[in-house]
Amino acid sequence: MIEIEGIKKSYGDFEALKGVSFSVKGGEVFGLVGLNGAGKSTLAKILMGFLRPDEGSVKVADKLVAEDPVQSRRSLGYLPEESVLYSELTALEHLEMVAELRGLERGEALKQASRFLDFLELDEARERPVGTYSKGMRRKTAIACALLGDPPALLFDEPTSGLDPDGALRFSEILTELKRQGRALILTSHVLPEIEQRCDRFGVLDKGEIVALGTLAELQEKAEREGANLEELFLHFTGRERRDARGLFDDEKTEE
Amino acid sequence: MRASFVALARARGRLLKKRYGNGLSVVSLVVFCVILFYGGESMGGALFRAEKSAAYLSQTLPLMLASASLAMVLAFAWALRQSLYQARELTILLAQPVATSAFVLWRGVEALIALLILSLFSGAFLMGLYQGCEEAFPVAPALGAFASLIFMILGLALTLAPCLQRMAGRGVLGALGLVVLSAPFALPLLYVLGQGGGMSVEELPLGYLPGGSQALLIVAPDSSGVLLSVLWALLSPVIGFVWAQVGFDDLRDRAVGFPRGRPGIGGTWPTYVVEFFPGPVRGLLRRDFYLLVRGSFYRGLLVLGMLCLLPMVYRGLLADDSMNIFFMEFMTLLVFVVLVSATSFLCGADFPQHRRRQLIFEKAQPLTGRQVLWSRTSLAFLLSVPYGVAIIYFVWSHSRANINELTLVLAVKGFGLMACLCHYGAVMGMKAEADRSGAEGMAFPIIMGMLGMFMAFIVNIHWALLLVYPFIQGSASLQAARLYEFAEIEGGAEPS
Repeated sequence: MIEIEGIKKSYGDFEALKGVSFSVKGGEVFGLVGLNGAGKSTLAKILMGFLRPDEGSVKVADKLVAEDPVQSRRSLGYLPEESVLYSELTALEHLEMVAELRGLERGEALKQASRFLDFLELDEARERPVGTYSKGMRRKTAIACALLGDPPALLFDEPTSGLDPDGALRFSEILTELKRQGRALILTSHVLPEIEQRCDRFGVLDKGEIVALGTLAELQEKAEREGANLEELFLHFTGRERRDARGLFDDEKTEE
Repeated sequence: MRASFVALARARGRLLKKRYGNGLSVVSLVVFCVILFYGGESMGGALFRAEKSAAYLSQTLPLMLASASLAMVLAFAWALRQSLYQARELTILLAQPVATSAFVLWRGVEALIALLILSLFSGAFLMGLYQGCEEAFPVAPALGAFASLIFMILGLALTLAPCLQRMAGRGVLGALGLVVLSAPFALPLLYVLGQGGGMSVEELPLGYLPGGSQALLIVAPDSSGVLLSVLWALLSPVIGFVWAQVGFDDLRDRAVGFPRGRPGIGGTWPTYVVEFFPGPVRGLLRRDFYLLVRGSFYRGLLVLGMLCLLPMVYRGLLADDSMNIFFMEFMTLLVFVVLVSATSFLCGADFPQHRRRQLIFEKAQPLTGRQVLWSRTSLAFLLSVPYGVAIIYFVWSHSRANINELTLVLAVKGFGLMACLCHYGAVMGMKAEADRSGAEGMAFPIIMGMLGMFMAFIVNIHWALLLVYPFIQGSASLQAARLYEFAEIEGGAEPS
């Protein structure tokens, strides 16, 4: 469903991505993890067709993104890292707009929008401008916008950022349902336990390269660390170690 | 308090300097003042000659100045929205141990700076007006002083808005807002209706306007009085602001909080305007209308409001009986060009730039460049139509028969020209956006003006020459559409 092949991207002398390749098939949840500046956002932008890769190709539902970004966007729902919504529009108006922009049939789209708003507990606030929402409510609106129109593939960038525990649980339920329906899902997050719990396969991106790729069991085997969680595996593959903060606020220790 | 104020001034001053402290701002300021000066001069002189002097002084001039006052009030309200309380960085500043009084004082400083800049504009316009028509001078300071009172009321109303809304509800607040905004028109209108143009204009400042400036003019009816009244006009809104905030510390916190409630004046009525457009274009247009009527794009609203003056000026120019028909037609088309240059710049370049933070939201949808191009063209056209209708109405209602006869021809030429230029504006805006080229964006009005004049000239020869436009612009249109689809964009995290 999503095929990323040998993607390279540089900004001047800085190589943001150095030949990234992986694929995500229908009914699979793929977790992409990496440090700040590892290249996750650049990869997400290339996947959406917002940036052109220097080399390599991205296919979504068998369509090359670089050749036909409009059609590939039709097959791809996107939740950006920040919920960039129009403060003056209501949640319902956002969904109406997305439905029109995606060329959906109005009646059916509104029914779907109502179901999403109801499930995400935005029903009461649906006719209030988004500018009056809390961060979590804005996030839920953005999630509903990404889901509208049943795209076969979805990219969620830090999906639970700002969501309350109940919102995060509801999002988890949505993911389960999307997976059951056979959609291809990519999740990026800095919260590793969350990724570990929700994804089937993982890619660890470090300094523009995929340094580890596979299921949790495969990563444990590769690292030769049986029973290790994703956090420990992440530190292992990125060559980092846990740091002890004891003494951080102790002046005497600093002087030493 | 002093340390807080200094810290705040440094933090905010650094940001303001970064945003506006460049040569371009200064050049823009000077250029705008020069334009206003010559605009005032030509308007004053031409209208004074075209209308009979008494009618001009007692009717057109007060209304013109009242419109300018309203524009000032709106611009001041916009400037205050941009000032400290609405600033994004206030969230950080509020978390610091800064005294409330420092916030109040600094906001007063920002209000004063905004007002000084606005007074430069109005000063340039009034000086031009005086240059063009000396008889207009007594009206100007009086109406300026009256506007200062409106500023003061506006300052109070804006600051106390949360309290008023809580006490009286949104409806009453909206009604009060309308009263405040219509006030600049009220007195001149009463004057015009009451006197019917027969009264000496000197009676306007002395007999009909309230406020401190009037008293100053009575005490010192010479240049020093005028100077004092101008000073008062500058200071009164700032005093109004500071006064309104003393003792209302909690308002500061509320001012940065989110307003809670349904969309008010915007409602859903813009939906009806765009219902006939196809799906994605309708979606984009609906969004743009919502954003416009709900005040997301104040600068655009201000320009659209000021464009109301254009048909009024045109009406005055039309009164010149000495103009031959060819030049009258050409002048009419040039008025269309001025109008569309403004609207197509707003819809093609400025509005998309204003909402570029949300570009990632728009680009994540399967939109073709052609759909975006048509939505921007249509928006500019729809916004221009009412003004175009007003211009054509003045042609239709003119007393000279040989001008009335041109109504249909001028309507075809004018609206055809409008459609072409709206499209051109959208094409250029999309190309500039894709190239991320500020320079092209900056040259937009100049290029648009030159093309507009050229097209007005050829269209004036025969309306059918408009049909050449699609052949000239067809490839540019396709190129702009393709650029939109393939252009790289930044993420959603950049500041708006």
